[in-house]
Amino acid sequence: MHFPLEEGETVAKSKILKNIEEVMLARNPAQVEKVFSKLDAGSLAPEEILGAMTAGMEKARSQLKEGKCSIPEFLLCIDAFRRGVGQLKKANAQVAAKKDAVVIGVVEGDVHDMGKNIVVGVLEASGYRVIDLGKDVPRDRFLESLEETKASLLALSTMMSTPLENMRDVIEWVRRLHPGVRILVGGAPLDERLARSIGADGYAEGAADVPGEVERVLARLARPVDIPVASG
Amino acid sequence: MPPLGSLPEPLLDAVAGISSARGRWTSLTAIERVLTTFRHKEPDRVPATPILGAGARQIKGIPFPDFATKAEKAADAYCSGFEFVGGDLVVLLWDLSVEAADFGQKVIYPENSTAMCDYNDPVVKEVGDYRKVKPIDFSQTVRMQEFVKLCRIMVKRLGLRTVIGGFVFGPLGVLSMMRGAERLFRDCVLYPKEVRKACEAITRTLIEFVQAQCETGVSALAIDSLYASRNGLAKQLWEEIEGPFVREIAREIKKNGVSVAVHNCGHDLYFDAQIRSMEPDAISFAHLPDDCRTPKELKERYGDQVTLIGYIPTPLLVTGTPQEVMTACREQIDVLARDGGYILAPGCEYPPNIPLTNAFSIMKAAEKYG
Repeated sequence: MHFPLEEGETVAKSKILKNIEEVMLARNPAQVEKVFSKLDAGSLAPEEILGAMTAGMEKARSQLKEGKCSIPEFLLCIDAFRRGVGQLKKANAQVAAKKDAVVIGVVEGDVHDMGKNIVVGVLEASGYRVIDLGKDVPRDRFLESLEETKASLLALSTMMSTPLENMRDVIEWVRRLHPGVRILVGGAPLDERLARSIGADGYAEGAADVPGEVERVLARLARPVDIPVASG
Repeated sequence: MPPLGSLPEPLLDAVAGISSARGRWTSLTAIERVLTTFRHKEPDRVPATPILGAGARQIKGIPFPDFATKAEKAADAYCSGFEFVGGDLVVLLWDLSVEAADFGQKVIYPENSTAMCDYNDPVVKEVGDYRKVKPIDFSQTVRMQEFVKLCRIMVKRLGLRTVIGGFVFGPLGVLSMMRGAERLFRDCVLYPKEVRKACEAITRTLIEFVQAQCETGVSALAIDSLYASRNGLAKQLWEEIEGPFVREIAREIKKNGVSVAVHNCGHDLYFDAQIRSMEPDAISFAHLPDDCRTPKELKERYGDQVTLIGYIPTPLLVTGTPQEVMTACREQIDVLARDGGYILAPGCEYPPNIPLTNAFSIMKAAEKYG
C-alpha cells in the first residue's frame, strides 16, 4: 500500500501512518474517507493502519483525561475511528478485535446511553470485541448475551439513581450464573464504594479510565480469586 | 422571603447584619437564615436543604407520574417532605423533561422512576430540524403551566416558613432532551449556528416560563446549566452557544427581583464562565469546579462572589450510614460555612427511591455542626 499524495511522490510510510493517526484527532470525521481514498492497497498492512488509528485514539483518550479534549470532540474522534474501521472492512481487510469480548449496556429503567456509547468507542479502539446491548436492557438480555458470547467482562451503566437496584439485580444474577465474568460499572450516581457495595469488580469514573480498569479487573480473572456469590 | 432584588443593597445588608447578630443568642427563621447567608454573613447556623423532590412522594405514596404531572399532588409531596424532614430552602424540581415536553418531545412516565424523554423519537431528528424549533405559546403549555401552578401553591402553603425556589432547564439542556445529548454534542461542534438558532427560539419561551414563576412569589429561581462542565461542552464553546441565552434568562429573573441560582451537577463545572454569563447569587454544585482542587480553594476563590450550595455526594446518600453522612456534612461546613455564603445540601436532588434517613442526617448535621 502506498500513499500517493502527489503524483510521483514517495511518501515515507511513517508519514502516512502519522496522517492516519492525526485524522483520528482532527474532530472532523468526514476527512477520514479522503485520507483513506488516497491509500493504495499493497504497501501498508491493515494492521499497520489499524495501529495508527489506535495510536490516534489513545492520544484522544489522553487528551480527554487531561481535559484538553471535550466530550463532543471525543465523540467525533470515535466517529473517525469507526469510519476508518469501515474503510478497512470495505477493502476486505481483517480487522477483528484481538482482545476479550465485553458485553455492555445501560440497565433497565434508564435510556441515557451517551456515556455507554463513549465507552463502547473507547473499548473498540483499545481492541476489545464489544457486544453493545443498547439502553434500558432487561436483566435476562444481559444473561443471554453472556451465555452466547462467552464474554469475560460485563460493563453496566446508568446515569440515574433509580435504576441502581436493577443494576444490583443484574450483578447478583451474573454472579450466580456466570461466576467467572468480571463486572465493571459506571455512571453519574456511582462511585467506587457504591460500585463495590452492589457487587461490581471495578468502577470507572470516566470513559478515559475504562481501558485501565478493564485490564485491572481482567488481570484478576487470570489468577485464582475468591468470587463473591450472592446468596438467595 | 421578599424578592431580594427589589430591595436596596444597603437595606439587605442591614437586615442581614441584624439577623446575624440576633442569631448569636436566638434561633432565626429559615427565611432570615437564608437571607443572612446570601448576604455573606453568618446566621445562627448553616442553612440546609435536603433537595427533596420526588423522594418526598414516598411519604404519602404518591406515584411518580402523578408527582411529575399534577401540581396538587406534587405540592402534597413537597409539603409533606418539608413537614417531615425540614429544610431552609425548598427547591421545586420535577425532572428535566418539563420544558421539552411542551416543545412536543415525547416523554416516558415510569411508575417507579423519574420521567424521561423518549430519545428514540426526538423532535430534532436531523440538523435541518433545528431551524424548525420555534417559540411556543406559553399560555398553551401543559407541563410548564402546571409547574407554575406548583410554585403558586407552594408559595401559598409554605412561603412564610421557608424559602421557595423555582427551576428552569437551560435552553441547551432543553434542546438535548429534544435531540439526544450525544447527537446534540456533535452538532455543537459541527453546526453551532444551527444549535444556537434553536436555543434562541427556546429561550423566548423560557423567558415567559421564568416570568410566570417569578410572578408566583418564589424567592429564588435556579437555572440548570449542566453542559457548562466537563460533562458537556468545552468552556469556550459553552459560552458561545448557551452563555448568551442563560444570561438573558438570568436578567429576566433579576428584573423580577428574584434571586438567581445556578444548578450544575456536572464534573469540573465552569464556575467562572457561569458567573460571567449569569452573575448568580448562588451556585448549587455536586463536584469541584475545573479551576479548584480543594473545597478550601473553592471557598477562597468564589466564596465572596456567590453563595455555595452543596455538595454531599449522591453515592454517599445511597450507601452511607447516617453517621458517615453527618461526618461529610461536618467536613464541608468546616471549610465552606465561614462568613456565611453557604447552604448545606446534596450535590443534586435527593435520590428519589432511597429511604429518607440521610435527608434527616443532613438536617441534623446542620443543627449539630452548623
